[in-house]
Amino acid sequence: MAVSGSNDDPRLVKRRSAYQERLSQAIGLPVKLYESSDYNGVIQAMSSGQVDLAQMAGGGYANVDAQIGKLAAPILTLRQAEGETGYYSALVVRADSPIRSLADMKGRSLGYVDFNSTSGYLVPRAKFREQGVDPDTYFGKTSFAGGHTQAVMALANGQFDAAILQASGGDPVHGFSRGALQTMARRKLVNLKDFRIIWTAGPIPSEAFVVRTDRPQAMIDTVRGAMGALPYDEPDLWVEIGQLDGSAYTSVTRDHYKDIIALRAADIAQRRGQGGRP
Amino acid sequence: MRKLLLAACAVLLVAAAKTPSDTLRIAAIQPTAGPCAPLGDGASPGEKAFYGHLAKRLGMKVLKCPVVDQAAAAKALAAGELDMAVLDPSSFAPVAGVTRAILTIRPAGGLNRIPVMVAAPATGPAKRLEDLRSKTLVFGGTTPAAEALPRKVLADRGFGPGFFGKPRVVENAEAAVAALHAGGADAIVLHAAAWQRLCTPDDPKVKSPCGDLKVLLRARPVAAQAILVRKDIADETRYRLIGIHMPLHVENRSAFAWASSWTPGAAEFEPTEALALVATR
Repeated sequence: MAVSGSNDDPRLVKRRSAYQERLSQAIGLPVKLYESSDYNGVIQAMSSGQVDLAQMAGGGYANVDAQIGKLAAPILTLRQAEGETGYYSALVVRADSPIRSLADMKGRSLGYVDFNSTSGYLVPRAKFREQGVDPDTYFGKTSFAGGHTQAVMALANGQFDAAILQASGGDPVHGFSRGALQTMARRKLVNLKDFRIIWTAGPIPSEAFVVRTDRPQAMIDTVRGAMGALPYDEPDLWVEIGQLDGSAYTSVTRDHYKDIIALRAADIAQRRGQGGRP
Repeated sequence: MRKLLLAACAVLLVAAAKTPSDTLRIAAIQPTAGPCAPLGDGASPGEKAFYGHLAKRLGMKVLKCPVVDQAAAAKALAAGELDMAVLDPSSFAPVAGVTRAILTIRPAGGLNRIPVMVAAPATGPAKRLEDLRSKTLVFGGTTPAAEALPRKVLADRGFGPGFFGKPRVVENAEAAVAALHAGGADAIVLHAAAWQRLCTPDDPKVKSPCGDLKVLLRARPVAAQAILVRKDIADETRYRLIGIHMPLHVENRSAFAWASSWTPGAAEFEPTEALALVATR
């Protein structure tokens, strides 16, 4: 199973370990974790068939889909307690910044997360264009931080005027209780009150468990069932690994991500036309 | 050595995937009971689609077992005469020791079966729900998850309208806790996600506003009906049954429509806890 992200968050490490143990017990085979520090590592591991299963956001799956099509399929995504199956991109500035809106960002520096990040690159760029902002010319400088953690730290250290970050566990009206900032705050690396959200895009279809469809159907069904039953079989563990109480996995297909797949295809086409700079 | 281990594990997996009989027997409520048998020619297209889907995905025969009602289905399930049945709370009760729920149905537009929390001041007199008779509950919102669902969870457990005093409904979880702390209520009622967001802050520098409360109830709504199996079913088989049913609404619409016909407006099968048909406390 391929996963990406930082090993610095104990809750994320515990979650991976819990999934690994659960799946190993379910299918009766040792489950090996393929851990990649960036999104591309997971994408290539899935596309090349080095792994059987991966957790990836819609943008990552869209990239896999572009490479191997029906050889990969999303099978599960998280359905939040109140029914949402999505999350948001948030344009975040430091709390003491004079920047109050997207209009104030003209000529300013912006940090994206990663080219393969759905919330940290793909969706906000599309939303910028929808709102008449050309993300390639509007900002003074843009670059990739390399991950949500790095993007938060770069913003905190003043390397960017704003950063695009993932936000979840709520909505723009009610606020967010989960996301990149909250994860960093939990690790005592930043203080939530030092940041301010000035713009959002979403909801974005949440990340999926993606499987190689050339693996045995029995294994795929068992994986789906074992993961689906986890919040009901082990409710305390579900909360301990950072999932919201009352959330649960629900079945999805490629259709759930068709908008993201279209965005990815359009963005790749546009980048090819401009030499590939962010 | 690694390849040898994987090969051995694969053989074990295949062996474990087989039930002792290589047959799945499903209860079917009919006017007359009868022995388990393959579907007859008179089966509806949806029923054929469902049985065929299960047979193909499980790689085993799927038999229909006519029983006269859910109580008979429960008895046969407990006795090992069939393997899967749809039961309601009353038919489940006598066989709760040997059977368990594995799947319920979420109706279109319906919520997850979210746990609900009831909490009161830790130093106050209320130690259990019964102590809140005629007392004021404060609900943290008017959304279905914040109000209707908690009311159902309480009613499921015998705490319906009239047990408590006149409730208060405020705009959100924060306001509910504030009302409790201000003495405007005796207990708060929140769904578990709202409780988790408010009462277990991610930022360790933030003090939980619920640190002085004690939880009197954490429970999910009782399911009206559920698909049950025997408790001694192998986990791998249970997971496979769940994993086959979860995407049925997108993979085989005809089969799903027939298999979910016991819940009007069904949207999808969802996994569930073993005691989904019981008002746990």
